[in-house]
Amino acid sequence: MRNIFYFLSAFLFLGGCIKPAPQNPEADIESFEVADSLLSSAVVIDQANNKILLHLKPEAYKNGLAPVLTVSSGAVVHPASGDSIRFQQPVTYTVTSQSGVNKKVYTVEVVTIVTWVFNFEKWGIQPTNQYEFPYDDNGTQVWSSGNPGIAMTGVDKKPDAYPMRSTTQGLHNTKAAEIVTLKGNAISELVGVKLFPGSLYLGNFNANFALTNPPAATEFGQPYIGQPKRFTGYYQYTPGSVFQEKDGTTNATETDKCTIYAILYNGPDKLNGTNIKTSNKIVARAMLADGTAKTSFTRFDIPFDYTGGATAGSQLMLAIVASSSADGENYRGAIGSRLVVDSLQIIP
Amino acid sequence: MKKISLLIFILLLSSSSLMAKINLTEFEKKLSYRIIAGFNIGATAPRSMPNTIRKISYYSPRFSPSLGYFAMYPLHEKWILTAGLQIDFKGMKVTDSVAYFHTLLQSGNGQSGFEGSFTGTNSTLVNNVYLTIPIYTTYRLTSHWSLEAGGYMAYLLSPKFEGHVSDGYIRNGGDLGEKVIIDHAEFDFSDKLRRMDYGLHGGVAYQLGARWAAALQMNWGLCRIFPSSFSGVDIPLYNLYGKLGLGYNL
Repeated sequence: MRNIFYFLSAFLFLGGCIKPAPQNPEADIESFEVADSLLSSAVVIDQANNKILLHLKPEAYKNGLAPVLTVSSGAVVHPASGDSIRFQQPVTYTVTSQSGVNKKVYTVEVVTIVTWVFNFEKWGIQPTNQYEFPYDDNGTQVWSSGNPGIAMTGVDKKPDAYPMRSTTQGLHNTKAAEIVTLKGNAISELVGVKLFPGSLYLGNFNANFALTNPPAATEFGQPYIGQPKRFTGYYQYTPGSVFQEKDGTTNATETDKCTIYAILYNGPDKLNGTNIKTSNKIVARAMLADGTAKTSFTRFDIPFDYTGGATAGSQLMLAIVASSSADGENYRGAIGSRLVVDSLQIIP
Repeated sequence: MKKISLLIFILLLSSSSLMAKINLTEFEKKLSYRIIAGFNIGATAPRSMPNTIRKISYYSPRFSPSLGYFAMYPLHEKWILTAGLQIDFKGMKVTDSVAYFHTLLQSGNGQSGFEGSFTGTNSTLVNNVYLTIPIYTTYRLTSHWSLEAGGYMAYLLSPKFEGHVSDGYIRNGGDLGEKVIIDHAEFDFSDKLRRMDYGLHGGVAYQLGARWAAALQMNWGLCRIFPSSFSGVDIPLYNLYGKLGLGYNL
């Protein structure tokens, strides 16, 4: 019997030895460190779009800085870690993988929100997955959505296959952000997601957690200076007809609601979908009270409520979040719920 | 080839009453029959290990029985032509560590889903059932020992190729895509398997008595089990199975 086993092993592992490890083909910037004293908020590495997003204090922008980088094992980066960079001209980093075959070029962007008025008139389109995202009036990408996560589930590569996109049916027939709750697909169901709640928020999407803990992938907030007084804007909302629970079963007694809120909190680390409403770093809240259907554009004007909040520190962050399903973070809502938001504004 | 075709034809009919009505005279008189029952042990594997497989931490053959009915026709005093019809289970379970391994998470309706390169742990269960037609010549070395060489064709009756990936990450689209952590994700490529398989047959048999014989056979698949257009497993896999069997002459 033993001999037979050897006979079988011999053919099975003919050429079956483990080969030497392949050269690392990865070319990521894994970390990008800048002294905290130069930053108004933590550095964001947007891996889906090859961008380094810096929120700098004004003197750092003027004088430049010398970031310390770590890259994929064996990869080489140019300019090197520790080299000084200045922002008078566009800054890019090129990472070449250990295998030498792969190169990834990261663009450094300095993010500043000059005025906290968002009219959603300028939109861009992500080249590989074809989802839309709004630029602010200065051409900076400060808004994100669940779209980058939904792109991974293999939806059709066209803007209206994603929950968040532009619409021309905004206030006074200008452009606005349209946020729709969509049906999940077979890939999303692999991770137990049966509907895609539409979302739009100030912040970025961290793909690392897109499958393991999707709410943690939505990182909310941009740096804010001062203590805002009010959050205003316009919205229109139509709930979908059938409310469903996380497991896909129908709940006949519930009607979907939208949610729109702004939260001021102590940074520089960002809050995300798991703790944006509960964190003890929250300084003030401005929450829309009425998330029910609104057939025409309805104005809201909500004062920030500082009661019970943390004491404001020196690195404040402000998040604005809008979703077509108020309990979307728990994947409860109605397919087809549609929220349109326009002219969002923070009054200082 | 004509002879072989005829042989298979006879084989297919031999158990039915139709046989009685066909006058095959001399040819039929020379035929003898054998049943071989046994087990397949082997792997659905690449012929040569790609460098993206870093470690095999677990391998176990599945319970993979094989049962076949064979007809033998003597060509010469030392040479025998054999053809059969056989049900073959071919299965295994393997857990391995992979690095930068191209794969995809695919939706049930076959639309391509999330594709990229995976680094982490892969666990695969294969349990395929084939209807096999082996055709080979036997050469009698001695009164006890004989050698077999030939080929086989097989049709996949029941496919199973599934498993999960865990404790790693996938890069969306390829090596340069963003990293997405994977705790656990299932895959099922069963309906992507090719229905046809063919390959080489080699073996050695030992006559235990007038009716009984032991056989050790190797069935070396030459056909990739997935079509080359399928990108879920981008290394070519083949059915590489051995069989340990016991034959009984009818």
